Amino acid sequence: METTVALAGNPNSGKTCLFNELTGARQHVGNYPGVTVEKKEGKYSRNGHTIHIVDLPGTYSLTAYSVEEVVARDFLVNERPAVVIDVVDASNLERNLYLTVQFLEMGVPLAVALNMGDVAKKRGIEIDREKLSILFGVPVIPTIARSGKGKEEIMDAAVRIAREEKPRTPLIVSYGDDIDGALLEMEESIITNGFLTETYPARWIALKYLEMDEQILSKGQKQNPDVSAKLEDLTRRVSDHLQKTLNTYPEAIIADHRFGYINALVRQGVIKFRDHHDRLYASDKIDKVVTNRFLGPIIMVGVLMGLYHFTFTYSAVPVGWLESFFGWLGDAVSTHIPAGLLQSLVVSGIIDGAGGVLGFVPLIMLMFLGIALLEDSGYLARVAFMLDRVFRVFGLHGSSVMAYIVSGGIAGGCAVPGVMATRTLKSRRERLATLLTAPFMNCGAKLPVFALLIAAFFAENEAVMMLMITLISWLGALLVAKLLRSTVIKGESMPFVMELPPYRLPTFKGLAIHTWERTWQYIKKAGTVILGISIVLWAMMTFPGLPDSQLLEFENQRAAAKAAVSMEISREVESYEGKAVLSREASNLRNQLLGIDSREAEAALRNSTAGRIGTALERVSKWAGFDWRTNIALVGGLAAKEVVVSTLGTAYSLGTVDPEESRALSEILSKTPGWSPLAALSLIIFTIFYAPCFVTVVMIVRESGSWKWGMFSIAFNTLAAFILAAAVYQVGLVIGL
Amino acid sequence: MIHNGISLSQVMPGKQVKIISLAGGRGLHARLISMGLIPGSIIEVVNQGMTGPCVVAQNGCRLAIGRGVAHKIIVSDVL
Repeated sequence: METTVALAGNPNSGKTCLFNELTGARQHVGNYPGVTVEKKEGKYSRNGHTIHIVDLPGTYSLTAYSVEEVVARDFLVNERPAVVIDVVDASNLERNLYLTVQFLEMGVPLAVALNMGDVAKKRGIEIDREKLSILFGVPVIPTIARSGKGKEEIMDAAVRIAREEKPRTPLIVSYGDDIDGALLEMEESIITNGFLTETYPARWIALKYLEMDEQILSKGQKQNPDVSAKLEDLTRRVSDHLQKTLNTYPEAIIADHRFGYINALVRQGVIKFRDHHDRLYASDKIDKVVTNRFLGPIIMVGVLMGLYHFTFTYSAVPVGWLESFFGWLGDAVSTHIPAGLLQSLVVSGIIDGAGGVLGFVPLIMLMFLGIALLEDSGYLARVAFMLDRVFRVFGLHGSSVMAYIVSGGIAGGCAVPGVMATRTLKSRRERLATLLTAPFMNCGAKLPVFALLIAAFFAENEAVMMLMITLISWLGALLVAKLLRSTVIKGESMPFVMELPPYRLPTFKGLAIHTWERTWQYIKKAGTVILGISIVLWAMMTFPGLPDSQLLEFENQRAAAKAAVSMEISREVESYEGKAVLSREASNLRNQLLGIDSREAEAALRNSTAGRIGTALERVSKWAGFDWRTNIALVGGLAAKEVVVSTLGTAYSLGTVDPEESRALSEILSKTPGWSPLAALSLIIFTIFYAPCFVTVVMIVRESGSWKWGMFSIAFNTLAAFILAAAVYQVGLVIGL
Repeated sequence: MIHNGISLSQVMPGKQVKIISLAGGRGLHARLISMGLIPGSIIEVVNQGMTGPCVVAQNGCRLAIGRGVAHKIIVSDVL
């Protein structure tokens, strides 16, 4: 059987760094079932043995108050890794050992990786690791995870422990008379009743009862209500007593004694030397500037703009390559497959669909590279710190700003990486509210729609309108976040206590792995689903085809147009390949034929399933001023917002419209009865807020861990968008805009 | 001199204080404790504005603490 080794430790202890060093590119990122916590696994080979390594989420403790802690704890008891490697930050020994002691109390086989000894030394701390090893009874191996130093040694130690397979006796820490007495009594009834003992050590169960640990309590109540009631009774007695005498909770006493135990150990010579200057000169100096009350926000705006600029400027070139590649592929396939349904399926359905997915890849890679850079350097923690006061008002977290910006908070982003960027948020409710509202930002694909409408109806105030649209998105996103946080995702905000890690230069390996693993995840998961959906949408816009009678009519029109001119001219048009200059008559005929093609495409679109849906929706959508053409375009926008403009083009018989060159379409719109600046405004509002594109929905499903939230974002956003758009339109009509 | 303890949110930057008690619910307690903020421990306020989180130093580590949380940490002078 394969040996499983789990990596555990505090956040910022260098755990992930060590994991990357051990596994390199041989890792796999998934989610723990049902929760949004990332599960990283990898393989490590040495001397012909392959070891399965799991990187547990970084935690400070093993309570049931945070998802990460529950996940880490459940993994230890359910999967029973052969060894747990506890990565301990030597420069912050006491706090890191708090988790170590809890592992020892759980009785898990442990090896300690004493990490960042170099940093500790610089801060004037020297640790006697042999002493620590003797006192804890576990191997303590010095490592420097950033450079991979000590990785072989720690794995050798882990393998040795795994081979020993000797039963572990849990560490016993004394918690003072009150608690120790209660623990003894509780342990006795736990052992005699075999209460949960198949998974946890008896004393640990008793401790968790005293801490009123929800998860263990509910497990206990399920297994044996009588014993559980007895233990709860005892807990109440101890709690009441402690409340009366010391005005405190049992867990406070427990923590106090744990730290006391650690301090006693450390004082036995584990820390050989400590310089009492508690100073992080470089980091504090940077913070003085970077989190300064006036300079801080300016620098932050600069950095965020920089990230944004970096991502979208440098991805434009490879995105262009991919676009031309898929364009070429489409053309190549078109010449090999005869025109017809199969060609249409392959070119419009599959190739355009796959192109839509893969087109995002360079963007996602660069965005994650940028975020990894900010995260690994320690700056992201400062951003969260500075913005927390603002975002907290709306039930969000300081880190939410990242997701908003990337999604298009500065118009032109993309919600797909934006939703993925919410991973830097650790608290579930804030994260959910962020990822549900980030798609309200104006992604690059919504911009052509705005550009079209602004050009047609607000040409004099272009810049003002764009600014207004951006402000409307932010206001809408923040208010909806507040609404969600007071209704469907109600609940206390996570108290803001966060470590500000010292600034560090990110390692190349860390950045590369971070970036690649997320990009690959996107390609794999989104690719399959989105391809399927784009085929469905293609079918909706293609079937049912026009009835034969109508097809015949268009064919007759063509024949009539050709018959009106001489044979030579019609031959000239047929052999036209776009290079030669046509004679006046020929170009006349060509335009007539193209006009017929466009009218046929319009009729076909209206007759298709999507067209029928659009026509049926007219009854409702007229309240917001949308006709069937707009409806189809918006339905198409569910696949990708890029197709809104091109579908409108088809619906207005323009043939294929290049979204970048939509001047003709905007002229038509401005002259079409039924369109007005008010209708355009209503459509702008709707476009900002309605259902995210399918790629985003798929990412919401992935990141939130359930289809429920994906469906919610489609239904809720569309409804909210419609109400807003209809309100604007109706009020506008009344006041006579 | 602080005698009966004041909340951490009122401490001026640059000052060393000792945590004497934690108010607030059990969840907050557990979180603060696990991060090493236990009664008896000594921290230095590094950054404190009029609003927003403050930054404290403890054992060479910097912690940002939200204002609401800082209100609930009662500290006194180091003797």
